[in-house]
Amino acid sequence: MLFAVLGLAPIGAGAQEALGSVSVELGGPRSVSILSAGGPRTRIEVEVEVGAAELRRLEVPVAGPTRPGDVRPTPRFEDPEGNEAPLLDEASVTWGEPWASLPHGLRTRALPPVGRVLPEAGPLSLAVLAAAVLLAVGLRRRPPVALLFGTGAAACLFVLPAPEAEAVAVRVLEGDARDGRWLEVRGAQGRLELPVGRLGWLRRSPPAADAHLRVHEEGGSPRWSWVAPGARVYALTETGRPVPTRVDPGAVGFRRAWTRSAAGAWSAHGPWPPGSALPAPSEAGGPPPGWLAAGLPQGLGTLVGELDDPAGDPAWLRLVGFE
Amino acid sequence: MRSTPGSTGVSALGRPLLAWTLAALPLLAGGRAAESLGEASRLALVWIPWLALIGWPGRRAGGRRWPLCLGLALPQLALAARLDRELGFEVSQLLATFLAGLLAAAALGEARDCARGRAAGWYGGLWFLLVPVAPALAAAWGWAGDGVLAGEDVASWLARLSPLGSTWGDLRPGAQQGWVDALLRPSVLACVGLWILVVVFERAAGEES
Repeated sequence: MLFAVLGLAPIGAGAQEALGSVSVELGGPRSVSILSAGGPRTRIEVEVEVGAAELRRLEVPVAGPTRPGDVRPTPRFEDPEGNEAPLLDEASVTWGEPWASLPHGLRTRALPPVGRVLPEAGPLSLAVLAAAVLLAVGLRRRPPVALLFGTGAAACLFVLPAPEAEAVAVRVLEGDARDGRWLEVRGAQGRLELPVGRLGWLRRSPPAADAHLRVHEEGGSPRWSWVAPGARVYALTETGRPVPTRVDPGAVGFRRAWTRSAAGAWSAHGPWPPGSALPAPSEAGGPPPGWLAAGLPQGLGTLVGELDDPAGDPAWLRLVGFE
Repeated sequence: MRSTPGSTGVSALGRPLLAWTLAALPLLAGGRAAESLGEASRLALVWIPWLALIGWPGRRAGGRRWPLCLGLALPQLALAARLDRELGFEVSQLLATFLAGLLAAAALGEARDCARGRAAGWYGGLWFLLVPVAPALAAAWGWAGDGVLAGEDVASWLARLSPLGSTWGDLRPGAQQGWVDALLRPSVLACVGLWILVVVFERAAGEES
């Protein structure tokens, strides 16, 4: 109850969906298709232009339940109006490793917090708004006409394409030194880009949020994204990485690092560049962020820190079993 | 430039432009200012200055001014509704907020524009009670009457009676309401009732003269 209130509820069985992939052939003409597959709440929107008498082969993400024994339904395409469209290829879905195959410690880590991306009015919207006020002031002697033009401007502003909010993502590498397995957790507000063809698991917060997988084209290449307006979305994938040791953090160093002894004492170490030994504990470092230190198992050495990743997105690491 | 009855000069635009400027602030907010607004409904935030000022009792500029006010407000409301959709607000809630505000604004604006003589005095007094006093009393009662004299009930009733208090309640997501319910909100009925009272006063005054 306390964990739920604090937003630290662990990743339990069935709380996430498996991310799979299916190869489909779409017959034209069509621009938008709805793929119904996997969990009943998750739909897939394929926004790809297919010309008349054209066949397009696409890799499309699908979501399905993660509990063993759950039936994963066969994908089915529909038009946006709900009419079923023929699926030309009998699709077979590829799924990743079962969720249950991950170590229990990795499955129960708390999800990282994600910064809120607030929508803002774009320059085009503001220009229309300014034009509308000037027009209304000019028509001040004829209020009904001003109201008419105001209604038109309102309709324009409502249908203008909104600039897509920048997807600020957070990335956490969750490691377990005892078996050397790593889970990469990426989170964002509202929309998260997914690497095409990379399988894993999906989560959303709150769990009841309306979410969908989206396939669109950018520069001629298909892109996958996990979209839930107003909610937080997460993608979890298993990844490989050497386990940091006290004499070498690995290829990517730390901007800030903290360790926790098996007895539970935290130490701040400050920056830890690649190819160097773990710096001595420093009094000036302060404690680690609360979410990073929360929910970790007791009695095991732990390393947490912010990675010095020049890629841009905030990246963190949590390793349990650090010797 | 001084307004005279029947004029529609620049000074007559003071109230609508003040409302427009105040309503534009949440739409123009970016960075930390936008963060300080959090997930509050931009549509409700835009409605609040318009509802506060569209019926402001003051010197009449002549003719009906409220269609001009709505002409200025509608583009802002549309933009605010689109931002709210991106914030995750349900369409039904946005429609309820929009329709309730629209009817209250039209009723207050029409009542203000058609009130003359004694009716204008009555209108001013009732508007003062309904628009600024009721939500202020609701806030004060909610704070001071906590736990006594059914303070929460009185505060909630006063807040629902005022268009400002009612719109304030729409700031947070999750208030599911159909559009028919929105049109029957106590605040909407109170504004329409105020307009009907003004019309009755005007007719009585016309018959007397």
